Amino acid sequence: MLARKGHIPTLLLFAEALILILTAWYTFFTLDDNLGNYANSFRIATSSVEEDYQYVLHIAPLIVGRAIELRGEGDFEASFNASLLKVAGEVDEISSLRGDFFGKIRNKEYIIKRDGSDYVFVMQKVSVYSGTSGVNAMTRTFDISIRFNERSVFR
Amino acid sequence: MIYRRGQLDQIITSVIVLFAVFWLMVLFVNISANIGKVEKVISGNNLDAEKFSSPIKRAESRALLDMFLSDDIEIAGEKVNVREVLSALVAADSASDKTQAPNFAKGIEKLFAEDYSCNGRNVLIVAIPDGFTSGGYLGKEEETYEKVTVYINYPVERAEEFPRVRLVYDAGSVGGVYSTYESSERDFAEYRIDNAIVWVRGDLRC
Repeated sequence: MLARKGHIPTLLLFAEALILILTAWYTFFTLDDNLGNYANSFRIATSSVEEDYQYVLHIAPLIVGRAIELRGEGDFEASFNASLLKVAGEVDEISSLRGDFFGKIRNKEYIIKRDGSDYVFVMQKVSVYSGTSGVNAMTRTFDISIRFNERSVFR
Repeated sequence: MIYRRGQLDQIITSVIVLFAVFWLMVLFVNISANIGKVEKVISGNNLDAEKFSSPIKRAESRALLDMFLSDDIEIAGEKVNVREVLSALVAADSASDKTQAPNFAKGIEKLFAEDYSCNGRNVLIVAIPDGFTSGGYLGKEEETYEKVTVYINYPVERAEEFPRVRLVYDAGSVGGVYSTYESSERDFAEYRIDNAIVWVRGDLRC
């Protein structure tokens, strides 16, 4: 009778050890496959936002420069604004940017500050984003400031 | 005797558990050793993969490409968008009259050379569909290609690496090389313009 009682905890110990071993093995063998995919989608999202952010920083002065070049005669600011709208519209037709930079130009959500003989183009809260919603959707918001005069953009 | 038997069971169990723990540790060490192990993977064209490894470089290239494609050239006194010109190349190819030489392609080359080549650093190649029968273009061959492809900084000599590539026009006198090809698209960065007729592959830097 005593001998039988002694077997129960021993058997339980053995069974628990087996369960622990199998659980650990199951965890090891099923864990690693998806980690790469999650990391990859996160990397793509991050890279995409960074690329579009850099894209806006690169293309904004180029657009302002072309707008200066192609502007008509007369009042500088008025002709510059009209030219900027046209140039940005043409680039927007081609661009694959995911963000509101071109929309803000269309909606005239920018200001041109006069600073002596120079001008400063300022656009606030420009957004670029990756993904639509849910997991790994990212948005980056920043301001743009470009100094120029009536002939060219200052680099 | 009773206690001895109980102890024996426990000893056997502990040996089994120790054995299992040992192998679990071996497995753990093995998996840990492989985490973060770098394997060299080469797929497609490695040179192109390197070119676009940085989002900053790619962003700069995209910005310049967009400016180039949205720029204007003058044809018969009228300003026409580069993208529209490239689209017109396809239209000319699909028209019944195959004799129209795309002289306006020279306007694209001129614009590129003046404003986007960055002192010869960037090279432009326009792949034009077959079918042009004059102006230096060879006649229609066995197939017609449905889209114009613009290569920027694509080494011409590497065209031989891909199947079914052939030069149809060597415009050395005007500073460019035209070619057509049908090959693995995944080897190139793809820059699609609407209507599936113009593709730009390659990067542009200043």
